[in-house]
Amino acid sequence: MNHFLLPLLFVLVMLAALASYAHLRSPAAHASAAAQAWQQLKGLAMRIPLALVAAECLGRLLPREEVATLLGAHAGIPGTLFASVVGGFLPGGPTVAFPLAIALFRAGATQAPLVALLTAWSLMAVNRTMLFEVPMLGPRFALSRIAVSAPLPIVAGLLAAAIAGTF
Amino acid sequence: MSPNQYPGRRARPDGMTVFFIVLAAVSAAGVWLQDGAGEMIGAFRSAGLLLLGITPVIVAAMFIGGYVQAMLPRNFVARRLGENSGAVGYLIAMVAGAITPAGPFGAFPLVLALRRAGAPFDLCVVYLSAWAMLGVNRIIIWELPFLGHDFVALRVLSSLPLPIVAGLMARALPFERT
Repeated sequence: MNHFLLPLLFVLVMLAALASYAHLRSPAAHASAAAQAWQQLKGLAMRIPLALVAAECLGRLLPREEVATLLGAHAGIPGTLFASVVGGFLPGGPTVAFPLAIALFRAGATQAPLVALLTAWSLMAVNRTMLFEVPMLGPRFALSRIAVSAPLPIVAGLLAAAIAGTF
Repeated sequence: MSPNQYPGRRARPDGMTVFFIVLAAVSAAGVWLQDGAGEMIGAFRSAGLLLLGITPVIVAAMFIGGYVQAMLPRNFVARRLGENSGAVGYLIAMVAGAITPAGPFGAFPLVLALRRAGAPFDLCVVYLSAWAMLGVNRIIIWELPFLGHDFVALRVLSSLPLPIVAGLMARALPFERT
């Protein structure tokens, strides 16, 4: 639960500041803001619990050891490409991605594929996209953002290889 | 006055909800088949705990979105951070994304609020990419303790220019401009 305290504090401070400002400047904003919030929440009330269940279950379906073995077997530019793809489709939050990255790290994987894996995962994050981005911003927004983000993990991996001199 | 024009409309879930119903059902069935009913119930329990944690944040975030929409004139952000102030806007969005001290339950509502206030798509992409790749929060909590500073430095250095690249590509995209 501690994971949620900082974000909660963050949004509450923001909300308090906005509400006080509204109270002083335009008290009519309270009703309009509440109506807006209610409208949004009605739509999310069904989707968020379903998305959470889906996310939890997908995380459990992932064959973690097999993925690590497959990734460990590829290095260099093919490894970077492969890691980008795996990272992009990796379901689950940091509790899935980081243990996988750590396992690879310990197994002696080179840095470039690891950078590509984490970059792809952090940009695509299937769970996060399903849970937050699609319900809140819409599928069109999410798909467009993912489309422009798709090449970035490969670029990051290649940059990392160039910097570390491990081409 | 007029009778309900869409009988049963309230009861019928929209397409996105149907998608999530199917996804949840299929993945839950998958866990049941692979690991048994106990594991599936375990997944439901962790989903429930997660729901308890994120609900207050999401409710507060939706009110933030409501206030922003109620008070900011539409297209205010677009005018301030729109096409004309591209480079400065990108830089602000990138730094803001990197230092946002919150998980997705904080960052996405913020983007929703910005969108409502008229923030252009490419700026949202810069913000979200920076938050995802360079987020200080996750680096401190997850990455540094497990992967060490050498690796983190290399990864951050390799990702540094990419939010801007993503924004420029988003700008070139024919849709989701406004």
